[in-house]
Amino acid sequence: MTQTPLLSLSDLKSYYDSAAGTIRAVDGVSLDLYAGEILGIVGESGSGKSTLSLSLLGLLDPPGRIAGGELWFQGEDLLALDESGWQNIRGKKIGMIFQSPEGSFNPISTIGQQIAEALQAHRTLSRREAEAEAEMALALVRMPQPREIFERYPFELSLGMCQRASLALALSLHPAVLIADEPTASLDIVSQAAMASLFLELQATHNLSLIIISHDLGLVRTIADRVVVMHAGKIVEEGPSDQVLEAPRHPYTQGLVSSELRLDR
Amino acid sequence: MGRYLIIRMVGIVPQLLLISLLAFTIMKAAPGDPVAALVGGSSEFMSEADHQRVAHNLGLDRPLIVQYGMWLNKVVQGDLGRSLKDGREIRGMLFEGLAATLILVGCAWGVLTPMAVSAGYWAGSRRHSWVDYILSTCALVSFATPAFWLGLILILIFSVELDLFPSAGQTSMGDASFGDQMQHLVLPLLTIVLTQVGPYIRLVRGSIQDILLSDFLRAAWARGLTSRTVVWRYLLPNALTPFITWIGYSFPLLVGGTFIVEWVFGWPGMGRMFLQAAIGRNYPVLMATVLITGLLVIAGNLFADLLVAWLNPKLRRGYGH
Amino acid sequence: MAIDRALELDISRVPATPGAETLMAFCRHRLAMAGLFGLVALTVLSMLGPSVVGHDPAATDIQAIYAAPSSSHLLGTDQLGRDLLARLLYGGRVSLLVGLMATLLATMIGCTYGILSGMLPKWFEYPMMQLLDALHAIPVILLVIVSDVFGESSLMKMVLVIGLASWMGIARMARTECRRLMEIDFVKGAIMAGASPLRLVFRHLLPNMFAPLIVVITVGVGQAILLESTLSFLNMGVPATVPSWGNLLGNGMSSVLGGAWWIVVFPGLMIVLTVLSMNLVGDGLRDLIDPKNRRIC
Repeated sequence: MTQTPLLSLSDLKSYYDSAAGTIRAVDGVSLDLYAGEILGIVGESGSGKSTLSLSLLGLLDPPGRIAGGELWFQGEDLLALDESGWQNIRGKKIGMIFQSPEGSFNPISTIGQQIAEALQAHRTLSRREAEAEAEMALALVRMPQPREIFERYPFELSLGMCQRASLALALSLHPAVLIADEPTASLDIVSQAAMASLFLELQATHNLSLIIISHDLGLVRTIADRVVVMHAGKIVEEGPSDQVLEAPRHPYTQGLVSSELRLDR
Repeated sequence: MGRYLIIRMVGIVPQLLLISLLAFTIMKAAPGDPVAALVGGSSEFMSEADHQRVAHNLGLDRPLIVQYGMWLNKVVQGDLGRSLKDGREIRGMLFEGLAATLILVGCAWGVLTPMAVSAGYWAGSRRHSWVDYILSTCALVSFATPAFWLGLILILIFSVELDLFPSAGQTSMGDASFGDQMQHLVLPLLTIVLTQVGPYIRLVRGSIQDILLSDFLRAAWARGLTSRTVVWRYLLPNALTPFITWIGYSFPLLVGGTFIVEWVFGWPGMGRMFLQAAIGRNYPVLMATVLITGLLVIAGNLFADLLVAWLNPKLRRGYGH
Repeated sequence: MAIDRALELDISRVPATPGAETLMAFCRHRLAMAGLFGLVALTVLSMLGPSVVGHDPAATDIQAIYAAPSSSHLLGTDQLGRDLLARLLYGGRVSLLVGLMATLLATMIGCTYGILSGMLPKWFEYPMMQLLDALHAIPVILLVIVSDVFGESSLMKMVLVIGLASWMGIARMARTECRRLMEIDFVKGAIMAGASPLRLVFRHLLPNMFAPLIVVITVGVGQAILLESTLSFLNMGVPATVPSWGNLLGNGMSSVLGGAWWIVVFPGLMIVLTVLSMNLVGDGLRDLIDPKNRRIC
């Protein structure tokens, strides 16, 4: 791939300040993401994956902060943005879905309302138009009865349905990049498989760039083109996913891969 | 919603039972001879047979449960008896007292709510800042201040020293204008609000903090919603549910606090009636005020609970607690 | 997986190990330390104070009725010329004692009721909780005053009345904690191993409830002191001859209108300081117990 990257990080550092000292959750990460690519980020708990994903949207809560490095998106310097600048990026340019499906929605508002609300935040739409689009978005992620789901509250959906609804919300804004932070970790095995195939299908139809953060090596192997392995805030290995996950070179990756439970080995 | 309503209504029954039993106990435990009270204070000149006949007519020789039933029957019909002090019909006195108390409680609510929500929001959204420390400490001080003492201090400053506001009553002699009533309202209201606001502020602060750290708020930011939408549609509505629950739950506390304040400021409400009756051993009035206060609190509780149920989609759609 | 996020996002500063490290964390909690200091100071003062002041709290002085604060009477005198400082410090003993005893009583009743309702079968728990809810609907001050109307006033009666009117919150907490603990594996294990109910309560439930219990007790003592002072202010509390803080405020209204501000200001300040200290300590302890507050501070 010789095109210019969509999203480009160089030497990005995200630190947490605490009384016990500075915690370097992300410690100098450089990474490029190209259009239409699925990038997997794997690593064990505490390796800085989630902090990295939040940094990409400027969502680190204090005392977390971006301590250095650069972050470019479509030729725009994200770290120079003010709050309203970020609002134009978040959701609209870079979407994100989170690990906890029920935690993705406002508990006292219906799914449909929330999708419509997000649509209206980024585009000038009448309420009726926004609601119609929200319903279409729900149909897109293969919700059985979109009209019915539209009227439901988050607590009235199963976890798998909730996660699909949150995917619908993210896609309805047509972002260039979608970040999925442990998207299948809270789901049962059937929903996990459904989610994985949905990602593949939508990525193909939407020409989406996808960053999948997971410690489920199976999921990453199935859908990612390229894999980055993180350890203690740093990237220790990077490359095409079959190469990295089948023949790891770095000792840490070798440990990680060999600790995976697999029946075919 | 229907199921929740039924459960909540059933919950009222023991409350009503308990409050009526308490009131009935006051009447039964009151020292003195009820027969004597009926004939004007002394039964010396009655024959033993006459005394027994009157007692029988009053039902005093029946089992307690029957007496309770008779008493309840009278109370439900609005017959609360007469004051021992001046023989006035208690029912009329109660209406006046209840109105005066409701003015205080209502105004206190009206001031407390915006004050607590804004202070709690301010402190909660700036966790561990100086604003947070100062407001939290103020809330703790408010919680630790006896209402009657703050009332005295306010009288000392604003009535005795500065002569700005009257120290007692609901109106001045011969002047019942709106402005005059407002002037009389200031100090009692201030006392109630300042001594009650503490827990409310802490509650709002706590739930704002919780929600600020919650996943769904982070998700809301990640969608690129404006901060106005996030605050008004995500943060505040979710923080307000526990707040309204607490308003209902702490309603007895508010009423109790109001009673003491009424006493200090000579506010002619139910609280003053109650305390006067307690000090003057005026048992029928004591009974009646306890009963009505209990009903008031139960009603206030119920109202807040229904409001919460209506605001909370989980309860509205009948998913139980 | 939840732990993954917890580790990654919520880097714990306060160590989870109990004992010495918790104590250290408490010491770092500035407000709690201030509260603890206030409590110690108040206790020491009211224990040793009266002998240091040099005035007998009961000695009247007709020459110095309503004397303003001066070098001979640091906080002034009351309507009988008694030294206010001496009475204040002596009154501290009464108020603290009543508060402590009443809360102890409330704790015993509340724990018994709460644990019973938590351990008994559901059909028994329901009416017990209904009674608790019903009791909650009556303002505490109403209960206290109504029970106060009957019988002669004494210190003992004050303790009984306040204790009997303020156990409901503790009962509620004890029940919640009990229900929570009963769901945890080690308690389930003890039940399956055939532990007797008494052993269950004293070996497993109570020791694990200790922390939240301490919090409600600290706050409870403060509330009991407030109640005592309110009752005594209404001349319905401890006997008028005993100088509790509330009793010192008993004729506060006439003092205020007569301009003798010191009689009202100082006893009230003592109450506020005591209850505030209690609440600060209670708050500090709550912060330590509550895992929510173990996020990055």
